[in-house]
Parts: sequence; C-alpha cells; structure tokens
Amino acid sequence: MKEPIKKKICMLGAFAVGKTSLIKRYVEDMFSEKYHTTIGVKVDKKTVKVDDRTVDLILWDLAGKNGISEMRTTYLRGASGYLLVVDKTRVNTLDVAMDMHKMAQDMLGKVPCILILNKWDLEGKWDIDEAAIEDLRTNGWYTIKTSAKTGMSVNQAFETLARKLVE
Amino acid sequence: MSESLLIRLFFALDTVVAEQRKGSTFEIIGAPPVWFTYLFPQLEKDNPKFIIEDDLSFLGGFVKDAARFWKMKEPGQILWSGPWEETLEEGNSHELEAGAIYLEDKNILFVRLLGHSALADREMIQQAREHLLSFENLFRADRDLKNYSDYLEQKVQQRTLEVTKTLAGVISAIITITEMRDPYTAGHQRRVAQLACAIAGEMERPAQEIEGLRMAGVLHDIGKICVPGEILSKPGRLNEMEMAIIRQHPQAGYDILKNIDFPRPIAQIILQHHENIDGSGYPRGLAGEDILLKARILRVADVVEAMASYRPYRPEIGLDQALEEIKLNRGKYYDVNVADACLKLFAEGRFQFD
Repeated sequence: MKEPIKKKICMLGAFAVGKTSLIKRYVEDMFSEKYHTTIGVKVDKKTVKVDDRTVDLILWDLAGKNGISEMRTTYLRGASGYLLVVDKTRVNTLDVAMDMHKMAQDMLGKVPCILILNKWDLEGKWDIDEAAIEDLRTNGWYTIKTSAKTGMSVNQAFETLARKLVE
Repeated sequence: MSESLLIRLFFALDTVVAEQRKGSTFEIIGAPPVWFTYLFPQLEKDNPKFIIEDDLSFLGGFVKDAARFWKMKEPGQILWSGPWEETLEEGNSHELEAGAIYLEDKNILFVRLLGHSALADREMIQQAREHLLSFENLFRADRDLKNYSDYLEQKVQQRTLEVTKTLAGVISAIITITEMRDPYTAGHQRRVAQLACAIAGEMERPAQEIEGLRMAGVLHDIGKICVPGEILSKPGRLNEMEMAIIRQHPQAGYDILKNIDFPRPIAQIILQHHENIDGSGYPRGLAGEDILLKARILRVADVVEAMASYRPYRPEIGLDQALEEIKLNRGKYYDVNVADACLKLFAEGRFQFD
C-alpha cells in the first residue's frame, strides 16, 4: 500500500464564477443558489483514489479577482495545479482567467491546470461562444464543461486534475 | 509597548499569541481559547505547544512567510496573513487572520478570530461585488440589445435582398412575355428605362426614385399584353377603334400591377405615362403636377425612344426628329424641366441608347 500523497490545488478565476460552489459540490455534494463571496482564502480537503494511489487534495478556494481586492500571489505557493474557472454566462471572466493563468505560471511555472467552463446549465444566458472555446482547445487548453448546480462533470474536473498531478 | 501589555491586548481581541520555539513548534502564551483547539486538537493544558507541520495548510504557508519576516528582525512591524476561512467545529466556518511580529528577540505568531469585524467586511465586499454583477448584467443587456438590433437589421437587409431578387426575376419574366407578344418593341422598355433614369439623374432626383423609375420603365408597356397582336404589329396607320384599344394599355398595365406591393408607386406611374401636361393625354386626362413627376419623365423618355427607334411598320423618324418633337411640345405635352434635362443630355452627348 502506497503512502497517501498531499496535493494543493488552487481555484482561480473572477469573482462569482462559482469556485466556492464547485468545491462545495465536490466536497459536500451540495449547492446553494445564493451568492456567497469568499474573503481571502477557504481551505477544504478531499481524499481521492487515483488508481492505487490515495491523494489528499488540499483545495484552496481563493477570493475571486474583481478590482476591489487583489489576490496575494503567495497564496499560490506550494500548489501542484489549479483549476481556472470561467463563468460561461460572462465573457469577461475568460479574460480575467487568462490574466490569472499568466500570474500563476509566473509563480508556479508550468503545472497542470484545467479550464473549467462553469454554469453550463444556464444555456439561455451563455455569453462565451463555441468558437472562442474551440480556439482555446486549439491552443492546447484542456477544458471541462461543468455545472455546480446540477453537478455536471464536477467530480470529473477535480479528479482529472488529481490524475494529472500524480502522473 | 511592553510584552505583557501587548499580550493582554491580544487576549482582549480574542487572539492567540504563540512564541516560536524551534522550527515549526510554537508555544502558546496563556491559555488557548476553545476555537483554537479545533485547529490543533493535540494541544494540552499542561503542554501548550503545537506544531504547524502541514505546509499546505493556510497557516503552514503563512509561517514560511513569517520565518523570512522574523529574520529581518524589525521590531514594531507586523506581517499580516490576510483573512482565511477555517472550519473550526462541525460545519461552522470562521474567519481568522494570522500575524507575525518580532518582539524582544522573540518570534511571535498570533492568530485572531475576526468575528463581527469580518462579518461587516464580508457584507461590504459582498455588496460591492453584487453591484459589480448588476453593472455587468446591465452592460450585457445593453450589448445584447444592440446585437439583437444588428441581427434584425441584417435579417431585414437579407430579406430585402431576397425580395428584390425575386421581384427582379418576376419583372424579367413579365418583360420577356410582353416582348414575345410584341417583337417590334423588343428592348423598347429597357431603353426607355435607361433614358428615364438618365433624365432623372440629370434632374438630381434621389437614388431610390431613380430605381423606381427604372422598374416602371421596364414594365411601362406591360398593358400591351391585352392588345391583340395584329394591332401591335399592323403596318401603317391605325384606325380610331384600333387606337382606342391601344390607348387602354396604361390602364391595363395598372390593373395588372396594382396589387403587387412594389416598394414604389410603379402601377401609378405606368397608368400616367401617356398623360400630357396640358391635359390632352390619356387615360384620365390629368394635367400639370397632378401627373407624377416620374410619369412625366417616363412620358418624355417613351416618346424619344419610340420615335428614335426603327419600326418595320412605319417610315423611319430618327433621334433628331424625336428631340425636335420634345422641343416643340415642351410645356404643352411635356414637362418643361423634364424636356430640358432630356435635351441637355443629348445636346452634350452624355446619353446614347445601348
């Protein structure tokens, strides 16, 4: 039996894209419609199995970037990977995500990351078109469409990243 | 400020104060509050030491920053961690903040429960973010409205283009049918349209009006479809009865086209294209400005083309005589401005039939 390994994962993205909701869905299998702003950092844990390895994921939910308060880059220290969360109904959140990706790369170097296209359930309100998403994929982005509300692909997002971390 | 005073102050603020002993081991000064024991369950009353061994925890990360800060040995300076949220008891999360100070040669770490002040801060930030979201929604609604308006505009243009194409096809078919019945006037309508547009251009009429005139020009003799072929192609002069039948063609053209929803009053122009300024024309005997300007233009263009063109059933007349007719009856049959524009076009050599 191999020793469990600990991996720190950061949730990055603009404010109100659903970072906290994704963690809540993943860790507690719960969802709340009410927007609850994160102040600073919230750390959660979840243990997953990747093949025969036990991985303790330390999930750092970082307050979303919004121009009111800037994120401290030191919060990223020690992260093995990150989920970059975008709100499919707000096109500007894609720009914010790209800015944060650059910042994370400067701090962490090239570590595994996945672009999460959240709020996929709000089909009538989609603001990011398929062409933009296709461009991202063409440019090498690994993307996963999620809905914290319905639970769609939420586990897959975290577990795909966990797998990338131990590979 | 003395160490004991500062520590007392920290206690009053629901703050845990600990001194770094060795590496990641810290010892609490005073008794630990209950909430802190949720963070470090190994704390005992007699041994108030705890180890921050998890590098990946928030506090573990902060202690690394603090270690660098303590090395600088700057008394009076405080390094803050920024707030973080920690689940301290079953399901209840609390906001905490850590700080590091270097005091009297000691590395001091303190952790405070933010409590009500954090709630107020959260409330303020929450409101600010909700306002930002509202602005974003407003901006997006405005943008969506504009996009929708552009989309509709595009759709209208596309549909107009389709309708115009269909109309052009229908007109072309009508012209072909008309000309098949009356081969002597083949091309007449097209050439009349060409001259009428040139006259309208000379008179500086708007582009839309000229386009209407082109359509009326190419259709103006559609009513001749109701005139028997032997009359249309009869050599020599027509008798009274035959002339009466011929004179029905503007009305017949109007009747054919009146229910077609053209973008311009095409049927009316065709109905009036044999009216004279002095009221001597047909079918209604309209005079002066009661006749549409486009019909007055079409009248002149029709006469010039008909007289200038070869017809096998009558002696050749020619362009010069056609222009002479316009000059002669300028102000009588033909609108003065229209006649002048037409004569000027030919006089200056700026128009010739294809």
